[in-house]
Amino acid sequence: MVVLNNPGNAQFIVNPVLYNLNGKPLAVRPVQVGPRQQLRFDISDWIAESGSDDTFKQGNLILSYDAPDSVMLGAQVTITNAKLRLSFDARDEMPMSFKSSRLEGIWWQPDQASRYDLVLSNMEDSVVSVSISPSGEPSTLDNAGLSIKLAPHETRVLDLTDKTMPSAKRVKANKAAGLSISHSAAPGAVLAYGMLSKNRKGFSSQFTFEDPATRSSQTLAATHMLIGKPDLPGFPAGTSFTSKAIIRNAGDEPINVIPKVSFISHHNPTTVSLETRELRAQQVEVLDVGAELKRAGFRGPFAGAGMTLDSTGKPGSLIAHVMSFDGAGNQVFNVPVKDIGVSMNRLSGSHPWTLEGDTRSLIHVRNTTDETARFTIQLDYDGGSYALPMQELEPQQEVAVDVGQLRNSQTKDSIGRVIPKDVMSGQATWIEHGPQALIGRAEVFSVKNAVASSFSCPVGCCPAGDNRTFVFPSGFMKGVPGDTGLMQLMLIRRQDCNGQEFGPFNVTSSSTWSSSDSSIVTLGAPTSNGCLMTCMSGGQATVHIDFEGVCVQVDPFTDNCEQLSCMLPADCDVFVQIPSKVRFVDTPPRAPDGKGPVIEINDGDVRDTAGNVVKQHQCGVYRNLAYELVDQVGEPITDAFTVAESFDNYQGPDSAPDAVTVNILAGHIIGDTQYFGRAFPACLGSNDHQSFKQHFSVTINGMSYNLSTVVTISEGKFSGTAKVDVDITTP
Amino acid sequence: MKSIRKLIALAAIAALASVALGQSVQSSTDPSSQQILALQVTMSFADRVTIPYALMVVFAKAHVPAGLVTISSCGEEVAHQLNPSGTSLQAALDSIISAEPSNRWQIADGVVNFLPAQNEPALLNVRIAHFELENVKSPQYAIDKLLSLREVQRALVELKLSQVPTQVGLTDLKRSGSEADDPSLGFNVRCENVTLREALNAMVRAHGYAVWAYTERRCKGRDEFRIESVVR
Repeated sequence: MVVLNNPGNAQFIVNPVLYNLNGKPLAVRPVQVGPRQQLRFDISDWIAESGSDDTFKQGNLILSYDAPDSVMLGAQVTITNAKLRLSFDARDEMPMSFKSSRLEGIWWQPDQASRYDLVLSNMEDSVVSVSISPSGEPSTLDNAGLSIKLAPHETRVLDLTDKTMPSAKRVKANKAAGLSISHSAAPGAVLAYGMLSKNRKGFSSQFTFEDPATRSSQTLAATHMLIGKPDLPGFPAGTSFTSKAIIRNAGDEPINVIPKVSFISHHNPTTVSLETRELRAQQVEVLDVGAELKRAGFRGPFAGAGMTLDSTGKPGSLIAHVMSFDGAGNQVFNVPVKDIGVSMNRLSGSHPWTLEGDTRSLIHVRNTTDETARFTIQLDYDGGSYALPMQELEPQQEVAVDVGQLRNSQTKDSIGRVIPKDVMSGQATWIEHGPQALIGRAEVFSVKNAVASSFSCPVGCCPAGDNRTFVFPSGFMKGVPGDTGLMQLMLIRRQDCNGQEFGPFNVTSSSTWSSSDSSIVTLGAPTSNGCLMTCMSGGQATVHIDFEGVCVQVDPFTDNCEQLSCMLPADCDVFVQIPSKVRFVDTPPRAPDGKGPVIEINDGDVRDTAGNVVKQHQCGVYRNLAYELVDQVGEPITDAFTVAESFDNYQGPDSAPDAVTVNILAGHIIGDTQYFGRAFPACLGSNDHQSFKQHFSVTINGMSYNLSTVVTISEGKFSGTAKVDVDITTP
Repeated sequence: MKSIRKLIALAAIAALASVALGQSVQSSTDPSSQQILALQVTMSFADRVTIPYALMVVFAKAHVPAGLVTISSCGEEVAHQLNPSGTSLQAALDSIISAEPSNRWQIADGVVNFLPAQNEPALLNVRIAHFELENVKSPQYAIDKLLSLREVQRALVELKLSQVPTQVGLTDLKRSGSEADDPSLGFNVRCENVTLREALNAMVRAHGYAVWAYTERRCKGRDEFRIESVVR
């Protein structure tokens, strides 16, 4: 299975060419890769479609494409044998990223039953001479070395444990050694990796070979090891993992290595420095991380465990291989080890993920520094994006984002988006915030099939910088005193050097919030859920938000990425409304312009402004009215409120109407039906009428406001004429 | 002298008993009653207010179904300065009772009633054989329907009570152009062999937070009443 991952916003065509073991080429159909797209292909399908012979069982693959940047394409081949429960990841390499014709790796022989295959591929069109030199302690290795010639594009798989091999010198059981490879061609002409396997147990692990000349720091880091009880879901009860770190001094001088293991145990982030290792030239040592922690007094449980290896000596002297495996040797997780000095490893990453079948995908990001670090993660899929709030990582700590859990729980992101339940695959992009040193990878695994892959695709170019900020929800905010439900988020969008935008990311809790007038609006403590605003009194205030962002620019002379601190502000205006008056509001058909027609009934129904029958068999006169509540500047108030009416100056045959209190829902208005009459068969006399003044008060958030509005009402029969006169005498 | 002292003592016991009647419900272990009494209502009146007005405001703020009974005679209603000791509905009710101790309150099936401590209006005890309404939009409409029942009309004649015409008044209204009326917004009420007060309680309970108010005025030999939905 080959995965093609495009972290950029360009679209391009990839032309794959497969080579069999002998170097025979097979061009397969070109593939179009869209922006931020990740595609998966079964290589056997490619071969079948091309109608090739059956010699294409093993070999190598070259992907050619035209794109603005070489790192626009990340590719990884996962070789899986479901029957034997074996899985190997072969990562893509760029020829231009090699600086020497030397490759250094590790050869580990955990027991007599394990097998170690060294895979060598010639990526060139000419013959290459390759020299393979095992190295290590005399007690672990009888070293004779091996030289071979690789034909153009030939791939050779050498079983280093095969006793019939010409060199026939094996690493002894439970011992590890180094493997040095040098070749006669240009840097990058030969690729190599090791495949450690135990067929009967389903144990498999791939060993990378790297060019030490490409290394730039003395520190290696690995994120997410499994130690003891797994912190991943889905494993049977009782499953326990062992993590091994194999470290090798590939240089000619002695070095010291300080292994640091960080983890969370019982909710406490902890970093433990293990015993310093002194490695002579070419010495290899196998560390059982769990046993080392136990010796240091830590028994777990261990969650979010990662490792940092600080060394002395030249960059590239220390190489390491880290892996976690269960007691049965069936579940094996390779833990990529990265040089944190290589910017491509630490600025950002774009990793493909999948949730097909029982496959789970977790994105791990680790802070390899001793200072607090921040980063953002965005998940892209066909047709949408999902952005998590900006996250903070304590020194040496890591975080895991479970993509399936986010999808299945339909957790909303900052602006209310969810990952649709039918989405099965996509891309995860993490970007550090500031010049830090984070590493990340996607861990894609199936417990049922006992296979796991790790994806660590770089993004290339510079990490995305903070491009613009905005508040959400946008626009003018309104409230009334006592409102505590106004919630505002501060969001940023980030943009990389290719113009590609990410986000919006929630940075509310990382921003500084202030109110221009705290007598009008006060602010609560900002959290990732938002900053709570409380309306205190009438008027307008501006909420100012500052976010200390990171702006990125490329040095024109060195092409290096420069990350500079930059202040990104945003403002939000809040107007606090004071309920002040009511006014007629157009409410057809029963109250156009706020006042309906005068309706005289004789043994008829009284219908209110909404048209509901509220009295039957009545004889009298009525009129429907509609009012809206407005604030001090005449803007409607849309909060829910309680309105109470009261009456005075009553003149008429009855007594003043009872005061009534009505709950008005948010966004609703006040209906009023002025009726004067009698239950049929009684009726009004020809001069029966009443008049009074109507007053209103409203209550919102427990606070009462007497409105200025006075309505004068005169209704009934006037010399036989039915009237309902309604006038707002005091606005 | 002894007997006088004794009478005073008896009066005190009677007063305590009347308060205890309200408090016996107040101290009910019924969890729903306790929740209702714990509802937060900020009762703050700058001026003196009448008890019916204070109750209307309190029940509206508590958003709880309720009913209140007021019996008055000739003259203006008395206004009080109310200062509750707390912010709960119970504190508000206690404050009102202390202003007019001839009343009591009780909670029955989630409906708060404010009643005279003694001599509950006879009309409210009239028995109703059957009352049923569906999809009612207006509590006042349901009250009018109840009052038009034969049992009630017969009782009005027997009790020589005359009914004061009621208004329609204010309603909650959707803004023009907003979404159509939800037909499910109406409420249903059905009860059998209950008193008029129990039927009124069933109606406000079905509505959710409406408040009925029974006002009886006995003046110059004329007894008149009205029942209105004062919170809707």
